[in-house]
Amino acid sequence: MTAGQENITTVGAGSTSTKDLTLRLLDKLSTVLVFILILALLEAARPGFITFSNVSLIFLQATTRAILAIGEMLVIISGGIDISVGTVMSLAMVTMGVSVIDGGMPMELGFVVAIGAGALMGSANGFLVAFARLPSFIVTLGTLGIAQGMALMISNGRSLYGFPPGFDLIAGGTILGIPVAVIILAVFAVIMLGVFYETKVGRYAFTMGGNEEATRRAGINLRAYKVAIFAISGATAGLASIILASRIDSAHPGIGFGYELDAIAAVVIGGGSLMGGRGTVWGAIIGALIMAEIRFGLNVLGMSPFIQQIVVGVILIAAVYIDTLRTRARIKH
Amino acid sequence: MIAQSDSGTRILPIVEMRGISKFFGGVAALEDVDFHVNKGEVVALLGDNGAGKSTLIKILAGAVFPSEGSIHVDGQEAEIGSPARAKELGIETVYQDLALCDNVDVPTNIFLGREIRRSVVRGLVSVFDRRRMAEETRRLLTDLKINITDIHAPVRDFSGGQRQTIAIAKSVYSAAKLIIMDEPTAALGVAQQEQVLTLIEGLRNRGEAIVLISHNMDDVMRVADRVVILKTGRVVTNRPVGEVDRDGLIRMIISGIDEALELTAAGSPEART
Ligand SMILES: Nc1ncnc2c1ncn2[C@@H]1O[C@H](COP(=O)(O)OP(=O)(O)OP(=O)(O)O)[C@@H](O)[C@H]1O
Ligand SMILES: [Mg+2]
Repeated sequence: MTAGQENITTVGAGSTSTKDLTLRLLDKLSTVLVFILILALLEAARPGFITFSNVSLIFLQATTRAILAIGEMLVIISGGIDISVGTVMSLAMVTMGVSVIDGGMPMELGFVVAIGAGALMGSANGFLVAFARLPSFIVTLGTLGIAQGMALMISNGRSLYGFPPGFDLIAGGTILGIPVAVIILAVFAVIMLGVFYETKVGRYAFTMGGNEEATRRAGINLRAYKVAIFAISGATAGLASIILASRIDSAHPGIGFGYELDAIAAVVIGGGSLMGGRGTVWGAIIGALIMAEIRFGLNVLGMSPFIQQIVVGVILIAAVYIDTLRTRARIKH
Repeated sequence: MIAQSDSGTRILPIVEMRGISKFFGGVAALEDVDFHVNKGEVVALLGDNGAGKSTLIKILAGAVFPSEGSIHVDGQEAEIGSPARAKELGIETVYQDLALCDNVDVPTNIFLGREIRRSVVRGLVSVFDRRRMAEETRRLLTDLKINITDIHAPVRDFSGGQRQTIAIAKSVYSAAKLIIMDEPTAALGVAQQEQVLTLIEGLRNRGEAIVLISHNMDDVMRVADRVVILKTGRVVTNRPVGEVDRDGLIRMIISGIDEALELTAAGSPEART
């Protein structure tokens, strides 16, 4: 279920030995194989399951989770965790909804509002982690609740309908046959590749995840980078909220809760380590694809959403358990 | 500022600490300690557990702030308020617990905090110059006769001795005025200790100034020019290696009494012969 064991060895640089390359390739492919295997299982259970429209639905449903997971991946690489991404996504969504639908703000400005609201909540997380020196799990558990409450307050607890026409095309439209949302994910992934491997924020996320004290002793202002990392995660939740809102062509204050589970599971399935220091953009995407595939498959098999929740929880625990075994094996050798 | 810098016959210390005291709550980790390092000198800092060695070098490294006393770098009084400031002043520290990021490769560690970038779209987009950092890393390792070929492996794949040499190389690369090493051979096997000691000897021959904390008297006798012994936060002795022997060092560390005190006047004898 896991990938990318040695993939951040050189923080982005290609490795030298071909044996390494083959191993890494296999490692990456292993998650792709898992994705294909699950598809095959679903086909076996429901012959005729594999159709172009089903597979592209899985991809479409994966985009929100993949975007969330990429931001989550950065936090987890740095040795932290952000469990507020789901409700921050809700908050960003209804803030955009209220501004655009109730306030008559232009849609484009609404996008800025959504991403800005996410970034603001993320920065708050970052400040608390960096300056109050609280564990990120606790801080983001708190903001999970705060963002949920704020989302309900801002929206008065109601769902918001009436986005301008065309808004639904973000998720529903296609360019050259490719869903717009998938294109957005691809562009975002490329930008985040730059952030991971070509900016100090990304590079120091890896090194502080590997050894925070060593990174501090190198004279690096960890606090600033921690704030940046959480701000990026929050902004990412804002971006995800736009795509999700477009898919349902409305905004719901309660819709994001639970997405944090999928995002974290996607990160771990995709080879990110909760111990920090390891993970890739690609891993987050394939991890999210597998999560979306499982949820979609459970739907098709007629499992209730309640059972889906249970399955996702079990997958998360199993993936973390595998990660722990992997880390132990690494320390031993 | 420095009293003894009146003529060319005296050497201006690179770093001089005067009257340093450090209290942790009621505990005095250091009391009125004078300590200096001259150019091209390897000073061994010795003492029993809890003598204050790490505290003294952490003050130099900007990780701990003295309660009393002053620090002079190249004759100028300096406040070392942060690790970044210590680096600016040319003081690099190799800590007891290795300060390496295990999950990334050798160049990433060596260049941590001082990465080289190159611009792709002039003035707009720049990326890390991985090739140059790798080249510089190889050159550095070759210069220091450190035998590591696969510099792109994560450093956790290397032996303890190799990792220690990487940590030391990292401090050398910054062209530091002074390199501080806190027990660089502790927790290493015999062959790996040898690897690190050879490196330190090489650095000494290059004229690097080094402060070496060690509990191994053979190492000290082999690579140090001068020894300073601390006991319960006070300086016991400060003399050239030529004036002491291995057993004498051990006795002084335990007793806290300067054995050869009658030979020289109290105070600090000059280091260089
Ligand atoms: N942060 C701190 N808070 C309280 N006491 C401290 C602190 N750091 C050091 N001390 C105390 O100061 C004294 C000197 O400690 P230090 O670590 O400098 O000794 P050392 O000579 O490096 O010992 P070792 O050989 O065991 O490394 C000890 O009594 C220690 O308990
Ligand atoms: Mg110590």
